[in-house]
Amino acid sequence: MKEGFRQSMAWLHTWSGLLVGWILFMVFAAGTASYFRDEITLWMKPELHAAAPARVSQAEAIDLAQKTLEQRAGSSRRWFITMPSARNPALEAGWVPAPARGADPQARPKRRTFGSITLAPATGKELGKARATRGGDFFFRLHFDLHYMSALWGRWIVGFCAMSMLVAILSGIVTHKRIFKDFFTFRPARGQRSWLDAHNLSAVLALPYHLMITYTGLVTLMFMYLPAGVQAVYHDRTDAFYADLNGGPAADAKPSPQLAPLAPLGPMLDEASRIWHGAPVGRITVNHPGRANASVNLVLQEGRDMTQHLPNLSFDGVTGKRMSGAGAEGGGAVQARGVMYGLHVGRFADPLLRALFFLSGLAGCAMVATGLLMWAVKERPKHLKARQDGKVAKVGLGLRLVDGLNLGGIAGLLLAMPVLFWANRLLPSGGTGRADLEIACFFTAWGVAALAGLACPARWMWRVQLAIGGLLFAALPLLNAATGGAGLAASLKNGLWAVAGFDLVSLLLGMLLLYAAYRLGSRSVPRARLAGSAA
Amino acid sequence: MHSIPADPLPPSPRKARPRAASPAYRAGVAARAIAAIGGGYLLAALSTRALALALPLSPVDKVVAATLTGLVVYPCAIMWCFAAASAARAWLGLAGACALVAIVLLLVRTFGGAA
Repeated sequence: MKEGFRQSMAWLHTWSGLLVGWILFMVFAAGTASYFRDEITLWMKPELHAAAPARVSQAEAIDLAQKTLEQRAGSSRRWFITMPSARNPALEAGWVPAPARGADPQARPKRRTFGSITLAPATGKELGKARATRGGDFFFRLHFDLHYMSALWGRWIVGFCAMSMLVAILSGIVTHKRIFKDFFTFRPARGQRSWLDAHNLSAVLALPYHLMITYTGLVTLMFMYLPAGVQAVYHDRTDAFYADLNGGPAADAKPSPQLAPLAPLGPMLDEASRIWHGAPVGRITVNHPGRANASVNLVLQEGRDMTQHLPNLSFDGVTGKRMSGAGAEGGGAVQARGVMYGLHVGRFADPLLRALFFLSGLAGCAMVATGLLMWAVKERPKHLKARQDGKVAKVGLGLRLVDGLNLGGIAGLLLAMPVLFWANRLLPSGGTGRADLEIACFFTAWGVAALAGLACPARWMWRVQLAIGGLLFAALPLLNAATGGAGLAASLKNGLWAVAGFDLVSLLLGMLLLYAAYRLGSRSVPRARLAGSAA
Repeated sequence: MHSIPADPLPPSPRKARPRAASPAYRAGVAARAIAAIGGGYLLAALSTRALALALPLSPVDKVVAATLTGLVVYPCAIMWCFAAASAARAWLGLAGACALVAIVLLLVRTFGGAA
């Protein structure tokens, strides 16, 4: 690499982006969808569309939930409860199951062994009639845990890709000579130059967002990726570190052998709400319920403050007395991390800001996709020339592989995402393993599309896959109305914005994909511009 | 025909290179990648450790500030590895930076830092 600084950074930009690009596209797409995780979950449970959120006080709702949890998970080591909010009218409760006798107490239970139920806040009864589905949580988990592998592996892979992305963004900025001018430059239907312009436009337009989301994404899991600091100061006492970080006293690691009934949670919620000037409680953690060393931690409901480092209060689980001061401590660095974490997950955002985050996420998808396509478009003329000169018999393996992966990774994913929603509605709503079956449909569709793309990375294949994805997306509002959900007419009339918004966004995305498929067939598009067209 | 800005595409690094696929070139790229991914992480971890011990803050703030900084050190180290004039220089520069941080870390540990 004897070239100048800018050239070497251009090289780094190309390769750090290309090699992880297909995973990044999926991470961006799933993350963008996760902004509307609650809305997607609601759409995927059409049985709940008709239920109007009942108005009960938090103390009444938690007392009913506590009774249910004592029956269902009385011997559990820890409960997690999420109170109903404007975006999710149901009360969600989960628990860590009691460890098996003789098991290594250090071994953490796997995620799959968590128990969870969804309760109606007004009755405390399980909302059993909704179909079993992972809902929007699937995309949320896919975004950083991947699937069909341990969450730990998934997080390391996604972390590696995110760091690569950060390098690609930083080197991309350095490479840029005229970042401001590019902002206003788009030259359509000019082959390679148009792809470059589209890449620049989607990248520069939302550049602060891309930088923020990539860095803050690494921040969310940074103590796993870079544990050196925690080790240097806290040595092995990581739970003491997390207690300092999140506020509240460290919960006893082991349950006391002595039994003691858990104090009612309702009065604790009332007291917390009084201290927080009437603001509602969001999350509740109960450590060692039913034991003499039980403790309860209450966290302020999110959505009021940008930081994810929310004030919290701890109570003695047996006496019901408050244990800690008025919530989160920690200085500037802890607050800064809280704000960055909050920025990444965006739960503070009102609907308009959330929509802007969603659009920026789509711009991120476009940036990754145009970058991937540009590599193939730039490479193709060289291969064609080599073939004309008679040096090689056919297009090189690298280019063919990138063409195939582009097809499967971009068009294939856009086809598989609506398949998940179709599977959600068309699979019978009973039966065991239903939620996993939905996900299996998603990955099967993606796998078939990817194989077809690798086998035949041609222009018509792009058109076919984009058209199928577009049709599946655009027809989702019809499917919703036909399979028991609140159709567009009903949801708009009743102000069921979560469901109406899902339908409208799906319709728009579907039209966009169909338009893309149509444009790929029109004669005004220079052939050299299209991936695989001449291959 | 619309006017096209005179500025051409940024020159492709491949054009400037004599022949992309020579074994020496490939070995250089591999050496840089190893330095960037492995050595860059080592530098980030060492800096995080040194900062976490040296910063005059409360324990939890020290750790958080140091880790946030470490996340910036890593991509900068990676960029350095590919910006250096040769793979050997990338390795040397990175080793020098690691040694420097390690000395600081030793000093902080010996003299107790600011805490």
